[in-house]
Parts: sequence; structure tokens; C-alpha cells
Amino acid sequence: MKNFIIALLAVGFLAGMSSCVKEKFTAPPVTNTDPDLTANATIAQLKALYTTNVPVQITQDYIISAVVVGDDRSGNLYKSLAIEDASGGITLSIVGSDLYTTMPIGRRLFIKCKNLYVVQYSGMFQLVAYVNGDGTFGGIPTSTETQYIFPGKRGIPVTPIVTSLASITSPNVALQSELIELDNVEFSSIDKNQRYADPVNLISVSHMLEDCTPNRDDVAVYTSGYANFAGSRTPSGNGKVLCIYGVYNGATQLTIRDTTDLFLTGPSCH
Amino acid sequence: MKKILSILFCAFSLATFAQTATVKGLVKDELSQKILDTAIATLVGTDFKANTNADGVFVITGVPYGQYTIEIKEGGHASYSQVIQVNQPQVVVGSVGLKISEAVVEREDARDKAVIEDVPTVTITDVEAKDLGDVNIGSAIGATTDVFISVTSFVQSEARFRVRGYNFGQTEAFMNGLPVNDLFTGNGLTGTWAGLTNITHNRDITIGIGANDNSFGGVGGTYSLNTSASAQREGLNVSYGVADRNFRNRIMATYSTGVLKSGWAVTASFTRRWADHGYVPGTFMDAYSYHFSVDKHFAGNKHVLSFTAYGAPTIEGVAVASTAEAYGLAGSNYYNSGWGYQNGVMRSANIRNNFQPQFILSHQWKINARSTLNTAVGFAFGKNSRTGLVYTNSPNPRPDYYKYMPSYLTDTVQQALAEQSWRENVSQRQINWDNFYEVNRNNYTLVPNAQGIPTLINSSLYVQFKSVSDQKRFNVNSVYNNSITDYLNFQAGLRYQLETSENYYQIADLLGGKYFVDVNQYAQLAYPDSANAAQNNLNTPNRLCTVGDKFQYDYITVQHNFTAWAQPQFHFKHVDFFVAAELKFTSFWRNGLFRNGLFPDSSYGKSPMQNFINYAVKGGVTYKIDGKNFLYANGAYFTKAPLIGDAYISAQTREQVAPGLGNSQVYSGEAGYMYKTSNIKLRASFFATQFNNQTQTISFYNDDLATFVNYTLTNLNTRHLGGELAFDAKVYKGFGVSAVATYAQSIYTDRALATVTNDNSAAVIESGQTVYWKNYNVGGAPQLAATVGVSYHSPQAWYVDLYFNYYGNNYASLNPARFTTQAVTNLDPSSALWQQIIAQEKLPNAFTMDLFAGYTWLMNNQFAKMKKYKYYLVFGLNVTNMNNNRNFITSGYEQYNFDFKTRNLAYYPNRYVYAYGANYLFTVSFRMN
Repeated sequence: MKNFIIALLAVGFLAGMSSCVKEKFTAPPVTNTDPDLTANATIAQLKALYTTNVPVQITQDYIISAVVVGDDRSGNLYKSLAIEDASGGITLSIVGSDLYTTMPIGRRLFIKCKNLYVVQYSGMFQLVAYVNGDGTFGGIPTSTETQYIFPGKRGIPVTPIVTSLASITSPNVALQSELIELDNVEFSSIDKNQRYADPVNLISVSHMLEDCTPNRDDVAVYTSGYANFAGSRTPSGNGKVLCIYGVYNGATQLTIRDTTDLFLTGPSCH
Repeated sequence: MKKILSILFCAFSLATFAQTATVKGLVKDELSQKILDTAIATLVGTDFKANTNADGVFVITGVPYGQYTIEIKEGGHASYSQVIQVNQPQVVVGSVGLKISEAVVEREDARDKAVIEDVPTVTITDVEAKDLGDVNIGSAIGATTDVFISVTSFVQSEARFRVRGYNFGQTEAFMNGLPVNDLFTGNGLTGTWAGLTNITHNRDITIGIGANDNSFGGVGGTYSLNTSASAQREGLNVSYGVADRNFRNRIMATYSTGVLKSGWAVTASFTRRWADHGYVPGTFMDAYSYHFSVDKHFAGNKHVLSFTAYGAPTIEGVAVASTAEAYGLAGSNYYNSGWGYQNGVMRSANIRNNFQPQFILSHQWKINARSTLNTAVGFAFGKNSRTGLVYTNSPNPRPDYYKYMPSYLTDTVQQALAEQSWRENVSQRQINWDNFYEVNRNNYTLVPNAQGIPTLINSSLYVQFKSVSDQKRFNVNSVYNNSITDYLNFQAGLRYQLETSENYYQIADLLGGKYFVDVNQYAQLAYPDSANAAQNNLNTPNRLCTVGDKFQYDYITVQHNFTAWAQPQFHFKHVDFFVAAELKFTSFWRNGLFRNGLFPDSSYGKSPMQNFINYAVKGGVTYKIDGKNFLYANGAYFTKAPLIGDAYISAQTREQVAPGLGNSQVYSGEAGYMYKTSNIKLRASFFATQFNNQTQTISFYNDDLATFVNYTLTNLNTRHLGGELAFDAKVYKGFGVSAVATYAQSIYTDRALATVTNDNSAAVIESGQTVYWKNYNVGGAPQLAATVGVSYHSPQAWYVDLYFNYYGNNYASLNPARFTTQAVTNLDPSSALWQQIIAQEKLPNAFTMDLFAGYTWLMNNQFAKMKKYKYYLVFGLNVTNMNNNRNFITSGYEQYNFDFKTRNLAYYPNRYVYAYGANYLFTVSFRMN
């Protein structure tokens, strides 16, 4: 009897000691697919809804498919992404930071646009979530983002639209929020070797980019004080520049995504 | 084990009459050797009887010569009887060791088990973990005989009640004579023996500043465990428990030989508690514990050498406190934001992993009949860690981060959508592990390689880290005790303690990425011209870390101290008094292992030593009106060195200490009345304690700054005032009632001074900033706690105890930042916002009911073959919070983050921890002895 009890207890005890609490996890599978959605509208169609210079709500069940061409990785774009499809570009406004982690450059986004608004901010088209009574508006909140934005494939090649600096000195609506390439340009002499912005006091700064023509056409390159390269210095050479085309109150305003968008290594042309 | 009846004949010298005699004796608990002052000695068949006095001595006078049977009884112990011959004026029965009755042992077992394992571990928040300090400590103290101590520790622990409002570091803890307080935090290392409830019955707990034979004690008292093999009940005990707490299953096995004729005693005990899913969703537990002890008695017990080894390797997924909004939207006060699905499987982000094995060698030396010298030497080592999520250049992974909450939104349509999503989508309110993997796999960063050439590296943005504290402790403690005369006994002790603690972050899981880059880019922003500001360790710049690598910070603290104390105690007929003094030398320093880019000259290597000399004195008087009524009063004054964990303003980055770092002072007084008979015990007392010049360092993660912000508070003064009542009565044949109540007030008595730093900046952001919280409550524990218990203990070996508990005056702990001028600048003092910023939330009062029941079945009666041993099956049931009060907030706290720009209090609302609803533990034990 005694031995039987002890054997029984021993077996039970050992069983208890060896049963396992599972704390091993398998990594989720690698995926790179589009959601099961089909685009039925274009960015140009959205922009076309904006006819009366006041925010307009999208009432149709529009779904667009656009690729991120500018993200907030460096912090120079903030709470927004530049997205484009074949018809053009628009700024997607999202109230959140580090959007690039889930919506980086080259990722296709499917956006269910119904109930979102098309607005203009200082002349720039934006897709936003709501408009306040006073006419101000707000981007898509992080907490409702998954109801509008459906990220798809990553790694879609992003090709810049090659253009000339002279052709963009005056605002060009068609290029808004698109990635453009300018060749044979450099910073104006007083803007060379300057800090992009003021990271200590968090003040944004514009530097003039000019071409090699005798009349030195120029446009502003705007950098946020929050950009992680704000404290770095502008290059002095001449060459190629990639940037997001934008306008600000009637003037062209270019935004680089990071310093790697500048290929200004050649000799100055002046 | 055979009865141990150690008869020590004492020399009493009283005049007696020729034909009658005096019969006297001393009654003790057999195991603990504590005196029993509520026993009754009766000469069977006569009216002669006497109660034991406060010293455990009974005296029966005027006994005619003859032969008698003397019977000694005490509630909770098996009665003892012996035939005596009264044939001389003075008959000394001697020292009688009473065995605790089986039923009581089982009840105490059930209580212990309820206590120690019922402690829900809750993370304050993953990012504020450093402040966790004393959240769940008080409850780890187990039950003992004083009803106040037992109720406060095993019933009121559910409310995180803290005796006198002190943190647990104010109590000196001992294991087999070895001091076991962590010198870094001051707290008792109760977690190192968690789960070993079978062998931790023998404890000696004192509350307050009365005399203690084994140490000078802290202002909170002492807590001593004796787990040596000789102190364990002989026999085998195997049990299985099922519960719905932080564990679901528990098995325990203990075997003790008792003291063998050869002088050896051995005990071994193992426990495992585990749960795949604990009471709170997303929690789990896998906790082992072991204890092994061997004793050898030499030269007729003159020397006892004892070796003890124990440890409790524990892994536990813990819950995270959340806000009222999140609990409301999730539809449960047990919502836990600390877990999420990975590949469809629940995974916790907050995992505690503790294992610090302890080894103790102790020597008890009975020098002679009156004096003893007990010495313990101990070594312990091991790691405590907890995991969390590091996120760099990526969104906050906490699902209940304020920017993700519906209340953050201003647009009503979006708000409604967010609320709906929070209610309906588990994924919205839990951690998104799959997303971390996807983000990390796709993130590439330019990092300079060994040649300085920027190279594209697959680096993780989200990392599960371990915050590790790797400690080594060496302790020596020696206590000398001499009963010089019947009127005077004397204790003195020497102690040396050495503790090293290496603290660092370690990569636990890269979550799909290949490396983690050990730089702090945010530090670079403020120092654009510095080549080094971003480097967490200049000795290994831009290091690519993989799993197991240390990162962010790494430093060692070393402390050693030397203590000497002495205490004479005087015992007279009506008056006992004692005085005690302690002297202590402490020194500590920091040894940085990383050279931080912001502090290249003050982060690496050995810092200057900090030295402190402290003393403490105390004394007390007990006036024994008669054998039943006592009055007592004690007073104490301590100076205390600051704790290492509080001394450095940002220990993780630099060696700078708090401005004017110095000793704190503690003034404490207590006085009370006791009434004791064998059936009724009553204690009513008052206490008042003032802590002055304390130093405390709080670190928390600030999302806007993306770094730790550190508040070092000096001139931190608090006062704890209150009254305590304990009542315990045996009403009628096994029926008993008890009542325990504390009504106290713990407040800040002065404005503190804050030194504020953040780990992204070399600057001291605020120096000597005034914290205007004078007269606010010290939060975190109920200041009113009352319990009424009724019990029935049947002679048929079953019992039921029922407790009714009421808790009140619990306040949210404060965020010092909200009590600065900075927080209310330009606000009108009469404005609602001003008032809200400085208002301290009072948490709701709560009522609970607890049940303890048990039955012991002696199997021998059923099975004739069982002869050699006694076999028992013991059933125990504990139901806590029987009334299923699921709205009982046990602690609430103001978040340390405060938005100075908007002052929007909705961004960082208070966080709460709720007591479990009705929960149970049912155990079946098999015992053989």
C-alpha cells in the first residue's frame, strides 16, 4: 500500500514537473501581397472633385491604388505621405508618426476613399479624414487608419518624373506630391554648406536651388527642423536632385526625402 | 519524529509552606521555541490551575502533596499531560514544548499557500518599470500567530495593504539567520523563496520597533524565517492544487527526516506552479522552487551546523495596468495591453524572469545554558529580468498609448469609428507582433562599418529587450544572546554585507530583423556637431547587436556595509524595558561599463565612493499590570544611508549623484494596550513615524523625448500616523471571532526638491525644482483596512474561516511633475484645470469576503494495514473575493508623463490595477509521518 501510494505520487509529481508551459513562438510568414481590393478610381478623379475651393467629402465608394513615393523616415515629411498613381500625386494626411514603418516608399496602398475629404492646404491637395467647423481639417487617425488604408505589395519601383528647374518655378498642379528629378542644379552660393534647418530650436529653413542658366532660375528646398538631417550641411556641388514637388501659397516648394536624394557631387557650374 | 521534550530545570527560589507546594513550568511552541503566554496548566481533577504569563511561565501555588496529572492546553496546540509527584515545596515541570495541533497546521498551510501565491504581479507599465519597487511586496509576508500580523499578511494582502504605510524595505528580512534584503532597492528578497510554502511555516514577524532577539530591526520590524531541516515536520507531504489565479496548477513535494539519532536532519522540498493562461488574459506562469537543507547536531545540540540551498526559477508573463477608458472599451477590468497574437498565438511582451539561488551555512552554538552564538554566512547570485519593447524611429507599440485612444480624437465621427474598432477588434487593443516582424524585416539602415563606410544593414526597429539586474551577494551575520540573569538578557550582533549588481539592457528577440544598432539617434539631434552624442557606448560605436548582446547601458553598483548592534532587555515583575543601539558603515560606488557619448568622462569606469555612517537607537517599556493587562511604549530614531537605486540621478548613463546626497532620518514612536487570556487577545495601539530627507529616483520613458526622464527627489519627507486594533476571541467550542483594523494617515510633510534629467541630454534640465505636494497622501495602499473574521474549528478535523474585509482611503500615487510651477504656469489658480492638475484621486472603497476551509482525513482508520506511519489526506479550499467584486481598484497611480504644452490630462490619465474577482485555490495533500 505504502509503495503503491508513493509510486503513484512520484508518477504524478514527475508528470507535473515535466508538463510544459509553451513559450516558443514561430515567426509569422513573410508575405508581400496585395489585399483583395480593386481600384475603381484615380487620384486625378479625386482631385477633380475639388471644384469650389472648399473641402469636399468623397461620397462614392472609390478605391484608389497608389504607391508611396515620399515617406516620413527622415522626419522631413511629417504626418503625411506623398502617394501617386498613373494619374498624378496627392498628399495622404495621417495623424501619426513613423508612418514609413508600415507605408514605406515603394509600397502600394489601396485606399477606401468613401467619407474622406479632398482639401487644399496652401494650394496642396491632400486626402484627409475630417473637416472641422472652422474649416481646418485633420488627417486619418492612427486608431481608424485600418478602416481606410490597406497596404499591399512592397518594393514597387518608383520612377521620378524628370523635369527642368525652369519649368517648375511657377506652380505646376499636375506634379503635386510626385517624385521629380532635376538635373544640373546646385544650391545658390549663400545656401551652400549651410545647415538644412535648425534642429536645436526646431526651426524649418528654405534653401534656394538654382540651375545653370545665366538667369539662375531658382526654387525653394524646404527642410523641417524636425528632420533627422536638419543639422547636416548642404552640399556645394552640382548634379542631380530627387524631391517631392509641392507648392506653398503660390510658390514652388521642394522637399527632399533625405540627403540621399541629393547627388550634388560635380563641380559648380557658376 | 518523537516528541521533543527538553526539560530545562530552572532555579526558582520562592518561600513555600511545608504541606503545600508550588508547581511551575515554562511553555513553549515545540518548533519555534517561542514562549506561549496563553496556555493553561491544570491539575486534572482539581481546581488548581494557572495561566502562563507574558514570559510563558505558569505558577500554581498551594498544591497539597500528592500525585497529580498536569495538563497543559493552548488553543492551536495539542494538549500535553504528564504525571507529577508533588513531594517537595517546589516542583518544576520544566520547559514544555507543545506541538501545534494538526488542524491548525493545515489551516496555516492553507493560509500560507493562499498568501504567497495569490499575489498578482502587475507591471506598472512596461516603460515605467523602474518604479515598480514595492508594489507587490507586503503581501508576500505570510501568516503567524498574532492575529494582526496574520490578517494583514494573508487576508488584506489582496488589497496591497502595507502595514503602517511603509514600503517593505523598512522591514529587515532574515532567512535562517542571514539578512536577505536587496541593498539596491532595500526590499526583502521574498521572491527568492516563492512557492516554498511547505517549509516556510516557522517564522518570526515583528511589526514596529519593539525589541527583537535576532536583530536591531527596521522601523517596520523584522521578518525571520527558519527553514532549517531540524525545524521541519518529519514526513512526506505531496500535494496538488488547482486554482484560477496567476497559476492554474501547483504540485509540491516535501520530505523531512526530522532530527535523527545520529544528529542529522535533512529536508528537501520542490514546488512547481504553472499556467498557460492565468487569470488575466495574456499572462502565464512557469515557476519552480526548490529547497534543500541538511543539519548536523553535535555534542548534544551544543553545536548545530546547517546548510541550506534554495531558489525559485520563475518565468511569468505579467499584466500591465491600464486606464479607465481602455478598461471600459475592452469591457473588462482585466484588460491587459501587454500581449498580442503572433501567428495566431498569444504572446506576452512583459515577462519576468527571476532566479537567484541562495546558499546559507549557519552555525548555532549553545555556549552554555544561558548564552548562544548564532552565525550565518550566505552567498547568492543570479539574475532578475523583465522584458519590454524597445522601439526606435517607429510608432509606440503600446495599444493603449494615448494617441491611439478614441478620447484623443476631436472629430466625433472618427471618435465613434475608433471606439467601435476598439470594442470589436482584439487586434486594435492588443500588441501587433506580426507587424513588428514585417517592419523589422523590411527595415534597412545605413551604419558605418569597421572602415567607417556606411553600409546598408537589416536592423530591427522593434526589439524585445530584457532589463537585467545580475547580482551577487555575500553576507555574514552573527548574533550573540546571553540571559545573564532572570532579569537581564543581552543581545549583540555583527554583520557584513556585500552586494554587486550589474544592470543592463539585453536583446531578447530581434523580431525578424538581423541586427539592432546600439545608438541613440535622438541624443544626436540636440548636438548636431558632436560626432559622438548618439553613441550609447563609445568603446564600441555603431555596434550591431544580436540576441543576447547588452545594449543601451551597462553598469555595476557595488555596496558593502558593516553593522554592529547591541540590546540589553530587562524583565521585572511589573516592568520590562529595553534599549538598543546600532552603528552602520556603508559605502557604495558605480562602475560604468559603457562610455556614453553624452558623458564620455563620467560614464565609464569606477565612480567616486559614497560613504555613510549611520546610527540608530531605540528603547521601550512594557508595564505588566497583571498577567492579562499590559501597556507598552517604544521609541526609535534612525539615520539611514540612501539606497543605491535612488542615489544616482541617472545611473544608466552617468555617475552623478543627487545634489547633497545624504542620510535620511526616521523618528518613530508607538504605544499600546494589550489584553491576553487564553480565550481573548486584544491589542490596541498607536504609531507615529516621520521620515525626513529621503532621496528617491524615478525613471520613466517619455515618448515625446523618446528617452528616459529621471526625477530625483530630495527633501522627501513623509509622516505615517495611525491606530491599529487586533482582537481575537474563542467564543464557544471551536467558534472564534477576530477583528483587525488599521486607520492611518500617510502624507508628505514637506515640499520635495526635484532634479530632472533626461538621457538624451547632457544638461540637468531642472535643478532644485520645488514639488508642492505637502499634505498630500502617500498613495498606493489603503490607509483604512478592517477585517472581521469568524471561524469554526471542528474536533472532527475540519474548519471554516470566513473573513469580511473593508478597504478605504486609498489614493493614487502622485506624479511629482504635476506639483511644480512649470505644470501650472499662466493658469488661474481658481481655474478648473489648475484644480484638476493638482487633485489627488481617491480610489473607491471596497468590500470583499474570503473563505478558508479544510478537512484532514486520517486514513489509518480505514486501512488496517497502515500501521507504521500515519497517513493523511488533507483538503484545503480558499476562495478569495467570494463576493466577486470586480470593481475593486487595489492601486492607482498618476502617470509620470505630463504634457506641459497642452496640459491635457486626458493624454496621460491615471492607471489602475484591479483585484481579481472571485478566485479559488483547491488543494489535496497526501501526508505521511
